Amino acid sequence: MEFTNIDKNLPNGENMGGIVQKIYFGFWVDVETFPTKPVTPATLEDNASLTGNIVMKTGKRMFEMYITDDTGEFNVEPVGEVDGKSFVLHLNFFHPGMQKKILGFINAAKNDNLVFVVTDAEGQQYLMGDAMRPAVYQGAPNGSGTGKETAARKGMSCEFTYKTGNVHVYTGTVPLTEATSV
Amino acid sequence: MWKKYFKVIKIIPGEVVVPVYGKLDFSKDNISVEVCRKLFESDFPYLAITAEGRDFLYGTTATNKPLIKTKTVRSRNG
Repeated sequence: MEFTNIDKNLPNGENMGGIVQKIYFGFWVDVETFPTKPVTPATLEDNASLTGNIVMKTGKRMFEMYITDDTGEFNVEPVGEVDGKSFVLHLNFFHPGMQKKILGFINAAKNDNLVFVVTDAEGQQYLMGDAMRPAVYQGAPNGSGTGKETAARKGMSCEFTYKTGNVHVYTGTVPLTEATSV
Repeated sequence: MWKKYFKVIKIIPGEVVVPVYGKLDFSKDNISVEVCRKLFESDFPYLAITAEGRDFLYGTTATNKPLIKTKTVRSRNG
């Protein structure tokens, strides 16, 4: 791989923060194949790109979740000591209300392995989970519950993390319908 | 219209989130043939072309050729 100049590159001047109001999730064990990480990338861009699609096992699919605007965040945290650097990717969001569906999701997800696809404000996607490691629940960094005042925002915040050697962009699809064998 | 030229494979026809195009519902008829053609040509894993589609879009006959040609990342990588 060759280094190249890295210029200011904001297509159409866009550089909006945050993530969109839909996140996509599934059980890690339900994934048949993950997109592949770069092996011998020729360019810097290739070195940050996954190839292929996330494909689910027969009868399984990904799902979408609504999150409150301006509560979702995808964060890249470098970790490790010298010669041992890697990343922890963080997904934080808030889902309004305390309906049975979101409570059931947290009940199921808290000790299980998941995979997420997160989309930023420019439509660039990030996959949390690979063939070796899932995304896992960390807690509720912004609180979960009814709040104190009547004006409080009732609902559930969540944080999930995924450990990875490198950070990649996912350009594949998200199947919201069940996979079949043919 | 698009269902004359393409067939959904490997999933139950339904919603798929596709970069650039957003969420497409392949159980409905309101996807343009041009969008399907672009997806098919970009190794979209869930569309196969029909013989009629091959004739219409590429001007080739299906004689002596497989009726369904799939273009997937899996098949490309062997």
